[in-house]
Amino acid sequence: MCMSVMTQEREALKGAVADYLDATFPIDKVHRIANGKEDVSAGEWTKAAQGLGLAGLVIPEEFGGQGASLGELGVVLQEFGRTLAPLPMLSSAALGTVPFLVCDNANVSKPYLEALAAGTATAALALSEAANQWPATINNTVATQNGDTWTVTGSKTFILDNGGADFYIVSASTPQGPGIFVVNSADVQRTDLNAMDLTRKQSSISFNNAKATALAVNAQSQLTQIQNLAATLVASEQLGGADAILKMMVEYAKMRVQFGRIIGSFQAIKHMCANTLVEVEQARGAAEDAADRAAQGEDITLSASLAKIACSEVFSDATLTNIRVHGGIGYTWEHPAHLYFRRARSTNALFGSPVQHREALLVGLGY
Amino acid sequence: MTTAIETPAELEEFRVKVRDWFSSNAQREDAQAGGEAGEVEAGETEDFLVVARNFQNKLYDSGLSGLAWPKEYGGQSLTMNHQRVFNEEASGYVMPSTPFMVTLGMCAPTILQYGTEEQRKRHIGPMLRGDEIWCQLFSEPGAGSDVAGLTTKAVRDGDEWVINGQKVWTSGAHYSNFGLIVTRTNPDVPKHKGITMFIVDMKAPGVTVRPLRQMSGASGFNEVFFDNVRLPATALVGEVDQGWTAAIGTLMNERVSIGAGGGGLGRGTGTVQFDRLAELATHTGAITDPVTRNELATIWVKERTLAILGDRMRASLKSGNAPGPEGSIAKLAGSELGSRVADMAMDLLAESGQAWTNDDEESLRWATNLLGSPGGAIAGGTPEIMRNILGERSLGLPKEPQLDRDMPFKEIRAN
Repeated sequence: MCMSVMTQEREALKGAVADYLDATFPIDKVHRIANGKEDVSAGEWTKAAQGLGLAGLVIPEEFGGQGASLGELGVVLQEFGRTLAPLPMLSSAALGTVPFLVCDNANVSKPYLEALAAGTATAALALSEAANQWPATINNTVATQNGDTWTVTGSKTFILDNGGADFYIVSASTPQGPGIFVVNSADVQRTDLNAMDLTRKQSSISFNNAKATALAVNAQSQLTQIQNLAATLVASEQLGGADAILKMMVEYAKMRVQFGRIIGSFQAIKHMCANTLVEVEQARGAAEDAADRAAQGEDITLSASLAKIACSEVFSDATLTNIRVHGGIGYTWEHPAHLYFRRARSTNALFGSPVQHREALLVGLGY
Repeated sequence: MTTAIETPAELEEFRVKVRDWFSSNAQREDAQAGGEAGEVEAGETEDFLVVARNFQNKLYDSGLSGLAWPKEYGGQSLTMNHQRVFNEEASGYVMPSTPFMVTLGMCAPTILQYGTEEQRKRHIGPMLRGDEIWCQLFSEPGAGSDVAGLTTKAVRDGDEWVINGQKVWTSGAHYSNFGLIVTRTNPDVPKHKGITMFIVDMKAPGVTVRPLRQMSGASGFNEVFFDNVRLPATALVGEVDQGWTAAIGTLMNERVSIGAGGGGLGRGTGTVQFDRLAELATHTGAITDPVTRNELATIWVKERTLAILGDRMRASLKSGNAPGPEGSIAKLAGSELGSRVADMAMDLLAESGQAWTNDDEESLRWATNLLGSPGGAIAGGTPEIMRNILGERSLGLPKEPQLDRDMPFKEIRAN
């Protein structure tokens, strides 16, 4: 059951993306890629960019994109969350792209957006400098202006970059307040992190007097908006993952026989599934509401936190419940259950944990 | 239900109209504790009823009742967006509408869907205007979670039907004009296949209403006895022996209504419970305590997600979809929120939640709220029954093995 209130266009987009992902990244294949036994085929992202327009989904048409809204992006991210497809949809087409749109600096952004839309380059959002800071604070990354050019020095971490992006979007302090800059990968030292999530790589980077392009300076409001959007977009992806897990547990509960009965006929199991459904449908409302409000240009400070809390919690709860419904088989390395469990716990912590967002909510509500 | 599309300008015009109406016809809410959450028992006194009826009359006469209901039956044939705008504007005003929750949230949709044309024309307008209040006569002493096990009999006698039996937990029966009753018309077939629905005039000879007192001390529910009550043939809703389908429809509407707070009148756009608790926490000083802050934010999250869910459900209903098991989601989430709110208030009040002075109205209201919260979870089906419905109807999981399903009703073991 899906209580989504969706337009026909969105249904069509969702269907097309689902067909592509199901054909290209069935879960067995994702599992092999996660185990390092197979690689994503070279050029797959460019193919997805050109075939389905995914890379430039929210990039304006004048830069070669599709000009779709954040609502549509949310729908596509749900599909990526559902399949765990190891393409840079969240990292580049969402998180790496949205800062250009928020900063709205066409002269500077044009070459980046054109390359992103074509799928020939990827970007990554690099705001965090340390654990347990939401919103991310700029601790020691500094930008210096020399005439018309900028350089940045500092470090960033917990970056979703699919194992290495072409551009990193970093925040840095300037004499005029926080700024948002683009740095080329050639000018940073990148280190792989050991990520719990086997289906998505993370990095930390450091840079010393690296050449930077300024997207915005004195940009506190843009930085806040970028982080609110990041939380909203991650929430959409989490919702898709939770949906997939609900389906997985229900399918198993309908098939597995113990004590001479299908286990899903036992209320103990049935109620675990029903509780997950209740949480998923509430999270769906929260995630789609936040994405639609963002698309309409409303202030999403509260909606973003709401979506991130609801989707983080349902995804974490559902992936644990799913393992319990499966019993021992769900705890094995070969079963995909843990891939989603790992994704859930990873995204739970990224872009503000539920605990951090709850505090942000109360502050936002004036308490 | 309606296919009208509105323009933004029309919506804005409507918003202004609603805003003006409320500012000249309704009272601003003061920050009252407790209130709607978990309570299904307000509206008990004659005064309250008069106030509620006058308010509903005025709403109707100003074209603000039954917004998304069809015009031919007294509605306005407007869209769900109008309803949403109405809810937004109504937020913050006292809406004395509780007596109409069952009428508009459950009975009217059932009549619209399963009633005859004559029944729709006769009743829906007066329901929307607040001139008719209805109750729902489903549960019986021996048929609670298993409503289909009901034993109140309807026997055909010439052109009429004769009703004998007892109903229970009937909200508002003591002030209702009509009731929607489900009866056993054929005990020789399996339980779901011998049930028939009727409209019963609550003032008919042989109908006796006796209030029940709940653990909270309030009396919103009743026992209703039927002793040779005679109904005309025109009282039949749907087909003879096919009443279970209509009953399920009513129950699903009920869950949407209870869960999403506020019947066909639909409210729930704000975060009233959060506001009240935050105020209480500010007052007690607990607002700076991290544990309190975490729980408060959780309540805001649950209240907002429930409001969004309610909007989406009503949008889905009004765009023509029959109520599905989704109402059970709202009901489960709503009753959980109700308990959580009541618990948090008790934590904040500490000792003064369990004993208070005469002038401490805040403690009295929260204590009453706590004592009402178990009822909120049970009314309309227990959480466990909701989870069965979701598991079986929404997710397609198999039922528990059932001993009585295909057995003739008269052979089933009963209380």
